[in-house]
Amino acid sequence: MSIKSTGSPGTPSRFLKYWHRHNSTLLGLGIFAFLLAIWEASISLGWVSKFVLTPPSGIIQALIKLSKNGELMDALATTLTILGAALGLALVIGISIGFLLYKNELWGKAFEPLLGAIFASPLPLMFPIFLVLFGRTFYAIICLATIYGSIPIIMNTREALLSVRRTLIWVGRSFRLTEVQIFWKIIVPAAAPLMFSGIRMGLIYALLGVVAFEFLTDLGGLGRLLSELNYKFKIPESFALTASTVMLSGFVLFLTGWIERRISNNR
Amino acid sequence: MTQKKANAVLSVEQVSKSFYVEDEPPILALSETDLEVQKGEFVAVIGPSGCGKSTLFNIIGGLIPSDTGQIVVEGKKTNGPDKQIGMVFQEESTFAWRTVEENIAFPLELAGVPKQDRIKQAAHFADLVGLSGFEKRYPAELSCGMRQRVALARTLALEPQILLMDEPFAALDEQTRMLLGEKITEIREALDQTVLLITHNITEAVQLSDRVAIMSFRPGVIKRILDIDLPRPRGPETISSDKFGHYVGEIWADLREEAARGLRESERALADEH
Amino acid sequence: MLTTPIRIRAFSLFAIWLIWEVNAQIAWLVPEVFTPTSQIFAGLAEISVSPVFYEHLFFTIFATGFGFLIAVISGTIIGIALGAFRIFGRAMNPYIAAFASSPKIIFLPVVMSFAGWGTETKVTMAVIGAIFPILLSAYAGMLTINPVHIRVARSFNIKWYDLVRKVYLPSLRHPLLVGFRLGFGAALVSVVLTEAKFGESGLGFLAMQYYGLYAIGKMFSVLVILFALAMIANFLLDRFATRVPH
Ligand SMILES: Nc1ncnc2c1ncn2[C@@H]1O[C@H](COP(=O)(O)OP(=O)(O)OP(=O)(O)O)[C@@H](O)[C@H]1O
Ligand SMILES: [Mg+2]
Repeated sequence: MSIKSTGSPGTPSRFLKYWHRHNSTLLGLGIFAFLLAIWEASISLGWVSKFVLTPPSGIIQALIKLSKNGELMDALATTLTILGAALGLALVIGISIGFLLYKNELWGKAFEPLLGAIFASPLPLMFPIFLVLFGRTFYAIICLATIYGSIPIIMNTREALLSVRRTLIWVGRSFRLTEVQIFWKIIVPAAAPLMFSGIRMGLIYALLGVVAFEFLTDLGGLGRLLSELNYKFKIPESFALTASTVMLSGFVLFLTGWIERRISNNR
Repeated sequence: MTQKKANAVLSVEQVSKSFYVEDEPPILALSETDLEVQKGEFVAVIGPSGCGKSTLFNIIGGLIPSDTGQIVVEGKKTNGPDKQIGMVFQEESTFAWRTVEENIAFPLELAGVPKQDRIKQAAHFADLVGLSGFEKRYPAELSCGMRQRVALARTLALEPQILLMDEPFAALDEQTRMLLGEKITEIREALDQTVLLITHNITEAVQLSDRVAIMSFRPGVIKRILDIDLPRPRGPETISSDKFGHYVGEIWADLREEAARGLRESERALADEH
Repeated sequence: MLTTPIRIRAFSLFAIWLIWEVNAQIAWLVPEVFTPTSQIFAGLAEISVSPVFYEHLFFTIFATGFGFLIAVISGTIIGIALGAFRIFGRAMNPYIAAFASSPKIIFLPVVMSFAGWGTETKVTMAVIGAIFPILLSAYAGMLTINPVHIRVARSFNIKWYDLVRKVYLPSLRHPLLVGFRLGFGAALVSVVLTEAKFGESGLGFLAMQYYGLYAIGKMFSVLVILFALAMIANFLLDRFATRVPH
């Protein structure tokens, strides 16, 4: 008795299997493409003026132009450099303060709500203060982004270290490890996934801070370029830059999400 | 009470412990508890839930200080975790970020055993607890009972003279529990270990032990010690024997009272809350 | 002395204020930024009697509030819809997340190209700022609803609007409140940054004007008012949430 696999009711076809595994991704791509098509059509059919809304094809052309003359890459490099500096500082500051607030329970409890309040406050509105402090320099951007990025890192580091179960620490004690060994061999790996999700948030907030600051003050990379193109009424180019910034955010999100899943893979 | 036998390898002397919780009367978990375990002996401590078994376990292991009394291991008063003692915890205690093999090799790694030897030994102990073939898996991919066996193998890897176990088989099904019990007895004989097993399972206590210490509900004290005079190895015939059933019945008669008291007290506590 | 969290908090805030004040008095570190608190209060007093300030305040509150309202309605609906039809939720999640985590101010050129320079732009920017946290909170809240409850409700043949009212909204109360709070903050940031960049009115514009005039004390006063605004909104949303019956 031989059964052909295609089309028989018990065994779904290759296509169906693929569809079941990736249906939401495919549907998402489909919807996205559909929206882009409507957008394109609304301009080529003349419903909306192309001086008001640049169609996707125009954005792609503008993107190609911007990458060919090197402006996009330069701006991206500048933004990423500033972001790297801010992230580095935020990591150092965030992890060490988070660690101290974990070590000292009382101070940890005291500062937790304060940090939450700062985090919930409209922090980017502080940007003029940084301008006054540092002048129109990259330091102003780095400082704002560092503060913005380190708060979630502080909060999550403390939270993550505190969330390590007592039994795991006791396993270390029963093996007569030193407190330092317990910290590095047990507490840190156990806390790693939650800590990383704080770092991920910190990175995203730092990126937000950098690009917004650049745009507001015409300084630095992507944000500055966007502002410049906007002043020159280069509408397709500004659309292209906005799109690439969103893509950058999406990429950072995707990459860090992937790392996060790798870290907490086996939990 | 303190007449010491010369060959007691572990003795608990007059240990008391209270817990203080804010806005509540202090809980006297252990009250002047005494217990002696001879070299090579298998002793089970049995008692109703919440009677202070884990507290006793943690004090013997040196993880929490007692209010009064002392723990003596091979004639020496302990101060913190003792080198001779290996502990298996009641709660989940495997390291989620390490594979089975790396979990078992953890104490060896910290003792500076070279990698090749470590892996070999880990494989040996994985096999001993029936986990060969799972060395490269992570704890999340295993069942509760398998994880508990990983924790057991990890503790065994250092070959401690005294093995302390806090309800290690609670998460296991009856058959696995029985088989693993037999395994533990074998291992104990091979390594010439002394075992103190904490349990709330009467059959398990009778199946495995030379003596069973019955604890009372709060305050926890050892109410009675029962010698289990059954031949080893204790296979199915022993377990189905009248004598075995007799021991089970006797322990239950003692425990019943305590368990009922525990239940009443928790009901009263619930009623007070409402 | 420093034995309770509250005391430590009070002490730290006092210490920061003291350092600030001493630094300002001896004019040591960047005195033009760390102006004495008395000067900030003086600035506040001066601003609070000028009618121009209230005009700016009104513009900012109007754009923020209006945009926030639109975002509340549309964000809640979209979030619930994405949660109710989970396949669409899963499908759109990566795209929404990418937009949600990008700085909203970069949409300003796009918005300006069809909304012009006026209030419409500010309102649109407020919507863009507020809608993502609201939508994502509603969606996340929907995912936590026990599917058994929905099936039980369906088995009683209830109408879809009753399903929303009796099953979805009660369990969404808390996540929506969180979303609204985040959303209001984001709307305020969006509007003020827009004003700071291109506005001719609003508190963001006023702050930048003072910055341009190097009237740092007054600029601080405006920022203080903005923070107070955010806090008041938080407080009101909280009160509102405790009032709404279960
Ligand atoms: N850290 C603690 N703080 C306050 N009370 C505690 C603490 N640890 C234990 N207790 C109390 O002491 C009593 C004994 O607890 P213990 O964990 O030793 O019980 P147990 O016999 O191991 O119970 P089970 O069989 O359920 O594990 C319980 O009433 C418990 O509430
Ligand atoms: Mg216990």
